[in-house]
Order: sequence, then C-alpha cells, then structure tokens
Amino acid sequence: MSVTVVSLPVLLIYGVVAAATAAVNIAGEAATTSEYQNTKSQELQNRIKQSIEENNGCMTEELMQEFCKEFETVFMDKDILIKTLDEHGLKNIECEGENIQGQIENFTVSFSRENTNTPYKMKISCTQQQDETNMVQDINTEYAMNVQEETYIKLKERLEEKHMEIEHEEVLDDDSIVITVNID
Amino acid sequence: MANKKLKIKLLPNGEIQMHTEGVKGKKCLEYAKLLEILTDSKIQTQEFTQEYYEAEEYETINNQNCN
Repeated sequence: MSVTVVSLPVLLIYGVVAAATAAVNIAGEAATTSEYQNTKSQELQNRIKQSIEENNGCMTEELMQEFCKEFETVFMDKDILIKTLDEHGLKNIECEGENIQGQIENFTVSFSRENTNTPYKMKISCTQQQDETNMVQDINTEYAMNVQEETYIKLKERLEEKHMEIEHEEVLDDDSIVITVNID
Repeated sequence: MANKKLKIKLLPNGEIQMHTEGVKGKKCLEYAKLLEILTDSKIQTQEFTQEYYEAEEYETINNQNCN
C-alpha cells in the first residue's frame, strides 16, 4: 500500500485531500490573502512613523489593523516556526504565549493563534508600500524544510529505539529523503 | 519469502509518503499506524496496491490443505 501522511507541524487547511496519487503541495497552498487594507494618506504615514519611533520600531496594534495583510498558514509547531523566522533573518523576535512577532526590512510580522490545536495566522504590516509576496513564500518554504529536517531526525531516533534496521538512505534531486527500512 | 520493506519518503514540503513492499493483505495497515507514531503525523490519503488484495502466504497454504 501507499500512504501519504502529513506531519502535525504542517496542517493542511485548504482541504485538498485529493486522489491518492496526488501529492499535496502544502507550501504552495499555505498562504493566501484574506484581507488587505491600505491607505496612502499622509496622515496615516505620519502616524506610522510616530508609532515606530515611540515603540522601539514596532507599530501599535491599532495601526497594524489599519495597514496590514492577514494570511492563513499551515504552521502548527511553535519551535519550528521561531527557528524558521530566526533563520530567515527576522530581528527582535518576541514570543508571548501563542503570539510571536518580529521585524525584517520594513515589515512587522506577527503570528497568533487561539490554541495549540490550530495553525497560526500571520499578519504583516509595512511602513511603506512594499510587496511581501516573496517573503511570505520564502517563510512557507523554509518552514516546510525545517519540518522535513525535524521529521528526519525524529524518525531515525525512533527507528533506532525500536531496533528497526535502516537498509538504505538517499536524497533525491527534488530534495526528498527516502529511507528504506527492512521489516523482515 | 519476499523481502519486506518500508520505503519512507520525506518531502521538502513537509509531507511524508510511505510505500510497503512485500507486505500482503491488511498487515500493511499496521505499518501505516506505525508511521503515524514514528513521525508524529496523521494519515491524509491511502492507496491500496495489488499486494493489499493478496492473502498472506500462510493463509493461502492453510486454505489449500483444507481442500
């Protein structure tokens, strides 16, 4: 039989549980825009600058609501997410409960969720007109690769604990890792 | 006796695929559950190959002897 499973750190939201032979591209489906509010008024720009100056480089929650984009994500694992954000180059990463926030370039990026059984929502605010698409895609991709790495380490440890013999390992051209386990 | 193997593929998008080889009948379902435990994951899709519909060897032999 063939089985496709999804690591718990990556939960498929946009339910494409397609035909069994189809591989679901989680990273590609991960981030979609749910709402975009933007104003280019000089008054708002001034408020943003003032907020940043007064709040150690961050925007107030009120301003973020006016000038931000929000995304659904598939990010479930807090530690992997923080690691991903750090590796991506976010600065001043702060974590309080299930809320995570950091800055990169002109973006303030924050993640939040109500409980540990749901994926994080991502909010991005920017102090000036800037396309965040590449950054969002990059974070999606990097998170998924960190999930792959963590899963690989965990799998090997647990196979060893269960005295299951790894017959062969290989890395494919698409960066997939194939582990062959002998179960005779 | 056929070599029995699990081929576990970790994709860079976080997905995991596993293919059992040499495992006949419903025994493979146990390995699917094992994969969930080994990788902290949940089954998303399952596809049954020809081997799933083949009886395990010892069952086949017993049936023949009874006849």
